[in-house]
Amino acid sequence: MKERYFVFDTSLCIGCLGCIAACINENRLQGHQPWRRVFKLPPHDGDHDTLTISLSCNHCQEPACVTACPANALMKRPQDGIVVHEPDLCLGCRYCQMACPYDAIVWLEDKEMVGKCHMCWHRLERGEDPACVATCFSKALQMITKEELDSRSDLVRETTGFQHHPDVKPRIRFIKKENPKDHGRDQNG
Amino acid sequence: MEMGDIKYTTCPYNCWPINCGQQVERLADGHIAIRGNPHHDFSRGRLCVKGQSSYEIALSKNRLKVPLQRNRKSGTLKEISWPDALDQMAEKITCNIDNGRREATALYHSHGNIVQRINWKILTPRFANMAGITLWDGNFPCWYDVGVAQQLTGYWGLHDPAENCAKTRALINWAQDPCASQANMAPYVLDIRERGGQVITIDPRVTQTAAISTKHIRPRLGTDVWLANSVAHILIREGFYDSDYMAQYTYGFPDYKKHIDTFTPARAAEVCQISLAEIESLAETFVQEKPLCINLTRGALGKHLNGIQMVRAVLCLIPLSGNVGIQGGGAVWGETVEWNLELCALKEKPPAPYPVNNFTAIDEALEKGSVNTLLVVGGNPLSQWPNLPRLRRQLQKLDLVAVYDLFMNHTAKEAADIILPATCWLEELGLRTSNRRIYLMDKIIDPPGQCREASAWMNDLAQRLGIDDYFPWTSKEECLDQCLQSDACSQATVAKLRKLPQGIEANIPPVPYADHTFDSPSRKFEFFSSRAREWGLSPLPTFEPPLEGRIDTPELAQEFPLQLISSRRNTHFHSFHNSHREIETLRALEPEPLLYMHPKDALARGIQDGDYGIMFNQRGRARIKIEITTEVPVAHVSLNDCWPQLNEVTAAYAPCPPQVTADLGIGGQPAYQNVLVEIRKEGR
Repeated sequence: MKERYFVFDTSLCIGCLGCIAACINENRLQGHQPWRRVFKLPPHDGDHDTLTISLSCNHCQEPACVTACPANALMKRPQDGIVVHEPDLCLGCRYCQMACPYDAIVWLEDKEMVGKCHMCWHRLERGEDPACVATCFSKALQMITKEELDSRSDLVRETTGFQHHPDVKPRIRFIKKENPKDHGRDQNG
Repeated sequence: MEMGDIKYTTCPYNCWPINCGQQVERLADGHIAIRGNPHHDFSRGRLCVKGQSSYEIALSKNRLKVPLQRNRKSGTLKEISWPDALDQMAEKITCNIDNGRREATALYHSHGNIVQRINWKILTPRFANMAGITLWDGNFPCWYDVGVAQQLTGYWGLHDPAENCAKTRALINWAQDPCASQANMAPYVLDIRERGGQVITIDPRVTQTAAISTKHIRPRLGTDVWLANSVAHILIREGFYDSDYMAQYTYGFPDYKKHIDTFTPARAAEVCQISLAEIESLAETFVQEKPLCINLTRGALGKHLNGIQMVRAVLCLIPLSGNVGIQGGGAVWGETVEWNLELCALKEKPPAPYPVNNFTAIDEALEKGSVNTLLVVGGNPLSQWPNLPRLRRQLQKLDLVAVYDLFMNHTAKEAADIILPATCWLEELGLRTSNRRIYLMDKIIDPPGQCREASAWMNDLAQRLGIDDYFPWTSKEECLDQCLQSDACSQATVAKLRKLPQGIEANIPPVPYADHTFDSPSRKFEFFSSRAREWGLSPLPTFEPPLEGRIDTPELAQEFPLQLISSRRNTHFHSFHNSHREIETLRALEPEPLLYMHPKDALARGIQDGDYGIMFNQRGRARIKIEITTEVPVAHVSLNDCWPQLNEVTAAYAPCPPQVTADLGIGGQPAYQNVLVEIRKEGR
């Protein structure tokens, strides 16, 4: 399997939340414990329109959660770099939550353990996109391979609402926009 | 259903213009796996946040599963048998009939019943007509005044939204936010943009659709007649119309032309509080971009006092700009596929002074006591009808309120004497039309507990009323096959539909009005409507100031200075499933009502993001959390229409006269958008 990256285009996201529900539906999660979240940005400062950004685990190349886990319940799959969680090994110590700079690990209070996005590897192995990507109406959320990443010049590591942490090397990129806040449209008011 | 079998149905939400396709699989552990139907012509395997979460409806532990009866003195609920519940209902209906007041029993069926199209269009009206009771339809709060405008002009034919988006040069979302109300429109909207076409959104708010549009025009709320008529003014002044077409295929154009002369762009810019350049640019789009299509999918404009005239004003731009009868032109809205409506048994309905399905008539009937019994089928008046303090008082006076629903909704909880457990969309065989196609909604699982489908208990109730031929069919399949015997549906049978997850195309013209014969008395497009004048409405699309408006009612605005906008987000469909709180995924995403407020208004009131406030006016009040955002204009606030808090302050005023509804069968939508409120921070 190839190494993959999430790609997100803030100018296309319509904030419909379909990606969250698709993840919950596909992975049979409880509705209040989603692995993916959608944030409204910036915090309504009066000068800019609201942007939305959809984030989950970024399947870092050097994942802090894996390093922090004392039970080897988190691991990076050698074949594709996907960071997966093995519930049977999880101690519920939550060290991974403290280590993750993106707050991507979810606490499952009913099971007293954590949970996280596994990039729908079962779908990837069938040749399908992850559920969140497949459902995205506006194609704001995409997935590309490492080879495709290397051939593209329109991608950047950071955007409003997302800081690149070079120490963990998150596998997410953003479409470069001159000014994503104006959505490329005329506006009054 | 066998484990591992895949069956097909449609999504149980009534989004317009499309109901997306679903494929359903029952897994060995009892879970119901729902995915998008890849064969569906429009949704193509995609489901939105609601459709993805819909399995929770069927599996919810909070479903109503047994009939309940309330002790009025103590307020407590106890289990009752179906026969006992139906006996009580039959006794009350019979008593009204024996007293010569058959109209005093009213059946209100709404979107929960619309999920199953045959229940909505045929089997429920059939029961009400054969029993001889009042029938009110949940379309009146939703979109009915848009329908009046359609009928007054004679333009209500159906364009295929996908085809239209594929062929249009410009799509105007006029007071429509499809990315919130029908997210499956988003790929089609974006495709127009990617092809170099224009996507224009006209809305005072920065909506989700506005955010991906090429142009966003933000007129002052309720001034759409001025905007549309000023565009018409420019097209006429500059001669950008076909005078031969106007003479041959339209009615009243000379009167319209004279009328439009007064709607100057300069004055319109003042009224709408936008720039003259924006109006001129919009007019230029109508001239330069052909075909051009206007998305008027449903309700928003109809929720204004001036709503009928707004929609008429916008519709007039279609023939004026030469966009009739061409693919990619015209207007996009919901389905107009009809079933075999002879089965509604309207001719069998005994004569009586039934209050018509118009909110003015409904409010009067409840206020004067001419209705004493209310049967609510898949509806939630104590969330979705206006002026809830007034309605609460009216419902308390009734002799009997019975509610049939999936969940303990606001009306069941607060006002019902009898509560009946309903089936969901996977638990009965049904049909759906979506866009231009007919789909089977297969029965996939058995209903839990004592949940029964509407036509089954209506049949039992009909028999108690001495009606033996309400359900004369030997099976639901036979019933549906007969419902399909209409001009539009004649190609379809249940057996055929079961083999075709892509549905069957209805027999309706691919492009409406290609022959330029319209659905009006004159068979022409009616710029001037004689019928409107007879009903006391303006015969031409005219601006009428709202009863409550920041500028138009300045004295009231001094006390209540914020204009309240009723809005829509992806997480809800009206108040379905107890304002989506029974669906854990949706509840987690929007756990409580949010009032959207501009930073300047928040600053003036000492309110910070996340504070709770009290929204109030002369009718009522509600506690509500506040989100500060520039998505709403200054001096406006906005609240999603799923929450009953909205209707604590709305007015029970419907501008469309009941006589229009009596004659046309539609009209009477409350003016939900004409509301002034004030907000104060909680604790002050």
